[in-house]
Amino acid sequence: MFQSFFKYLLSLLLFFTFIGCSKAPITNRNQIITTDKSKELALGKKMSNRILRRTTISKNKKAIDIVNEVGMKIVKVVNQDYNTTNYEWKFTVLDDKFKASAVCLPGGRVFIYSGLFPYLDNKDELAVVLGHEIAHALARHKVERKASSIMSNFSASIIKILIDEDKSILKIQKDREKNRADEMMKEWVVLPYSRTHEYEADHIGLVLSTKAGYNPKAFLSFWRKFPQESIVKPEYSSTHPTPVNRMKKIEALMPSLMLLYNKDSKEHF
Amino acid sequence: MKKIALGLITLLMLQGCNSHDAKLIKTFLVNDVFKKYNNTTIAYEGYAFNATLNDIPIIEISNKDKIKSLEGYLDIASVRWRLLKPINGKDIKVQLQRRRIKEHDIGKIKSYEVKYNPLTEIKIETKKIRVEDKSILVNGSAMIIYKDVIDRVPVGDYVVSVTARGSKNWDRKEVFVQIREEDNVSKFL
Repeated sequence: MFQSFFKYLLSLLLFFTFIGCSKAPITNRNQIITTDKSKELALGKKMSNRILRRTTISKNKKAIDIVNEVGMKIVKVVNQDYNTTNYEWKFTVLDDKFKASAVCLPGGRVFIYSGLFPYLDNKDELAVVLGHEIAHALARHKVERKASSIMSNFSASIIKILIDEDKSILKIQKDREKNRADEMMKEWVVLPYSRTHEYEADHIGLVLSTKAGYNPKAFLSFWRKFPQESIVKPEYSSTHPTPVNRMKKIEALMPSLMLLYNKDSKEHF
Repeated sequence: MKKIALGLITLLMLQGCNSHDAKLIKTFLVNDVFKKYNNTTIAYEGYAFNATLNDIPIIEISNKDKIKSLEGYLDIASVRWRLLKPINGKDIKVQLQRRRIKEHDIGKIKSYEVKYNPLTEIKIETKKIRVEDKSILVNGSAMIIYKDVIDRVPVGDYVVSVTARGSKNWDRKEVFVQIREEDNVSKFL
């Protein structure tokens, strides 16, 4: 009993040591990050090569030019407000008509798939997508998720040790409970963590794109085009929130975003 | 039991640090339900493949009540999909791709067929074309016959049935599609 309590105490101490390592930009949320920036850039390059091996780069010149124009305008805002010396911002359009998504790797490499184009009607909507992806890199979500998965695996191991030490439970029940511990970790820690990152990237991304002069209302027009709730995959088993919940969160921020947009658009003229 | 409770407290603390949206998950078994769905064989509801018409994606319908033209359709329950935007009825290009998660069920897609069921009254304008009919031979040469064809799908609302035939099984998407005079599709990118 004393031994397991000691292990538990040690895990808590470790947990609290990690908390407060850094703060996310704009939202000021506490982050647990254990990877340094140079490793983050190397990780981004490795992941980028993996994507480029599997997908072809688009030759649609119009799309490439517009994506670069909008992306670089947002990056200009990022470079003014934050220290991004370790970032190498680059925007690449990939050919995949069936993939309606975009991704930003650690270090600032942004990929946008051509399957997303039918959902985009103007530069403001494109800015919503690129701002969101840039925000993931700026808030270092990928490496934060890496740290959180270490923590969740660690907590799962503690639960498994505690289950193992309980002599009142049969072995078959122990195995079932251990499997359940892994699933609980996924549903209680990993997936909500991922959804928090998505909400945060929406928030940070919109502030950045609004500062770059793009209309934040495009967020709502863009997300209205997607199925509002999936019949197959409910939010609690997904890495991403449903569009309806994303819009609810952003609608609450819209008055202040519109103030920023109006102030900013006056400054542009 | 006390030890398990301590473990659970650790979990709750981890959850607590995570955010502006910290909510407890309602059930432990949600993942079981999801796994069960993905492990079952094809339900013939169109989830085994993705498709586009004229590069416009087919997406899930989340609220059928908002689509008025579907009101009188007899088999409304089977319509689970819609085309993102209206398209022009000329030279409709259909593209299919099996979903990776379902590749063991449907196998490699070998062929597909597309059927248009109009929801509104449509005006079909046909034109005659000359074709060779090799089933009728005159002195060894194929007979030339005339066929009535349409060169575009008439303007209107449709339920389009896209059936994919794979090496292991088949699947079908029943899709709500709007055909319009001009492409209402943005040429933004």
